[in-house]
Amino acid sequence: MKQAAVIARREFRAYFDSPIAYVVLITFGLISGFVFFSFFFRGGVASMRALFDPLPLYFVVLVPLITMRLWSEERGTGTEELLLTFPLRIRDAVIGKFAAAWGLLAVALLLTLPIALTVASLAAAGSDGGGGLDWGPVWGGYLTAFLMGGAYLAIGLFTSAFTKHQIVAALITITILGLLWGIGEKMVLDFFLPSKISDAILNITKPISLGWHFGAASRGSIEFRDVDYYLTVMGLFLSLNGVVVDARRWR
Amino acid sequence: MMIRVERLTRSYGSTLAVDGLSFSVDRGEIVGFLGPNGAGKSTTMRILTGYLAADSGFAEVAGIDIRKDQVGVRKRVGYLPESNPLYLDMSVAGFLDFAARVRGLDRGKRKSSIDRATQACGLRSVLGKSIGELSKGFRQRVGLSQALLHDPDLLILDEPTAGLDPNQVLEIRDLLVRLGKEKTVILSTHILQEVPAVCSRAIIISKGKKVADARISELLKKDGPVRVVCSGISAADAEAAISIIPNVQIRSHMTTDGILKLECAAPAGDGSNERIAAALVARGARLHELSRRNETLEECFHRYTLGSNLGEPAAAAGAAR
Repeated sequence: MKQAAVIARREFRAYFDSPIAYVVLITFGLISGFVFFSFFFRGGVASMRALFDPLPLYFVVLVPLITMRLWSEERGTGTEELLLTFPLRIRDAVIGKFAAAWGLLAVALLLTLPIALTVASLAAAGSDGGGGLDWGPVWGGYLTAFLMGGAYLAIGLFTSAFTKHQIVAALITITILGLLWGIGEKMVLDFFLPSKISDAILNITKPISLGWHFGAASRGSIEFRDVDYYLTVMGLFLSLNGVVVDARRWR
Repeated sequence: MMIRVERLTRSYGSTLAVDGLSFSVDRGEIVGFLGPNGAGKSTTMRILTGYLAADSGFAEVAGIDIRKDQVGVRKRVGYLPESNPLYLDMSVAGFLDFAARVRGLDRGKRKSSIDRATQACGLRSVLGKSIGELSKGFRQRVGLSQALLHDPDLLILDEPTAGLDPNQVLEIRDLLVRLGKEKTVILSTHILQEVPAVCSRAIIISKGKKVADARISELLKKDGPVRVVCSGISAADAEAAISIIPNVQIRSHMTTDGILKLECAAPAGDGSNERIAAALVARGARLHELSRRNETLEECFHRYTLGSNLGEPAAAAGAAR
């Protein structure tokens, strides 16, 4: 576990040694801020939904940028051999890389806190007598968003282990995440299928889709079912990641 | 016994890279691991460090079965992979600090280890630089100091001098000699001259199999070619004279300014030196020099890895002198 922390530290710094961290943070900050305020001022309700609702879609694009380099860069430059011949277990390397990515995602989420503060101050000053922003659901939303991000990242990290080309890793990850997100979105399925059929499919696919499990949290309630889902996805893909990396010894 | 390898086999798809390889390395030895490209040197080293799994066979490093405790093996080994991959975005100091942390050295130990390794490899002046900015020679030293950080008993170095200029090669070679005084080293190389300069023993492998394993001095055949320098005779006459001596063949000849230089393959110790001299003199040659030299390591390498001690091109023999 100590070694996982060493790996995490290195990987987290490596994000800031390259432009990736800045691109991710700035893009995410701008888009989430822009979308939020353009909806917020139309709705006029003291709510964070305009930030939270589109998060599952943001992550489809954002997370591959974070995870694409984690294994593929090591394979591309050959440092994988250095890393995997250090006295550490593959599990530690996987967890370390995951933790670094999760840390960067946490920073990205924290960057949206000014949005919550703005909402809170506007709500407190507002005349509708709502009594300001209810922080409980906001923290719940953030926590679930963090867990959801973890699930996305675990999938991206797993994908990154299959190629030495970062772009390929990113594209495959976007595709997988897009699919796993899309099968839970009525809007997306309706685009391809007649409404009745997509409804029927949605009933089956929703529970395994990435975004659907964020719906309740976005509306303000943390459901065990959703937390459990995200943790399961994380655990599953991190374990598979370890298996894949270890299996490469027999390549 | 530092390394014990028995009947190790490893293939990539249908290509057999290591084919029933067995060898052992004693504590304190510096062993040169030689072989043509694709002979299986890197694959063997990668198996020993656990980067690759073997298909079959047994390997033990510092008494530890590599299949049972890979982390334990890696703790005791310093490894410089082929082509020396490094995190180019990191500074030298940052990278070594990372390597020391991964190796589980605590704070005080980290500082002293990094000090010692950077001192040994002459890296003090570039600690703050990013590895990507360094020359190949300095990068090689970074790779070596990484391998030395934890003061391992065994160093596994895959082509430590590849791609360096002659000065850098000398520096690294000196470093290896110094390291070899207290550590067991197994190193692969294409530069055969550095084998006698650094190694006490050579293992030659070809197509995944061991073809030679001996001290350098025992490896080289004593009955190398007989070199003759003479004048007053044409090459054709000399050839005719020598061709009638049993078991002696001319391998190469070269005439410059009336001086004829010959190299003949001849069995040692049956008077063939004298017979060659007599045959040439009988045809009116003036003999300036006749000597038998030891086989060079290149010829030895050639002999083992191509399975022949004949057919050496004349140009190569001419250039060798």
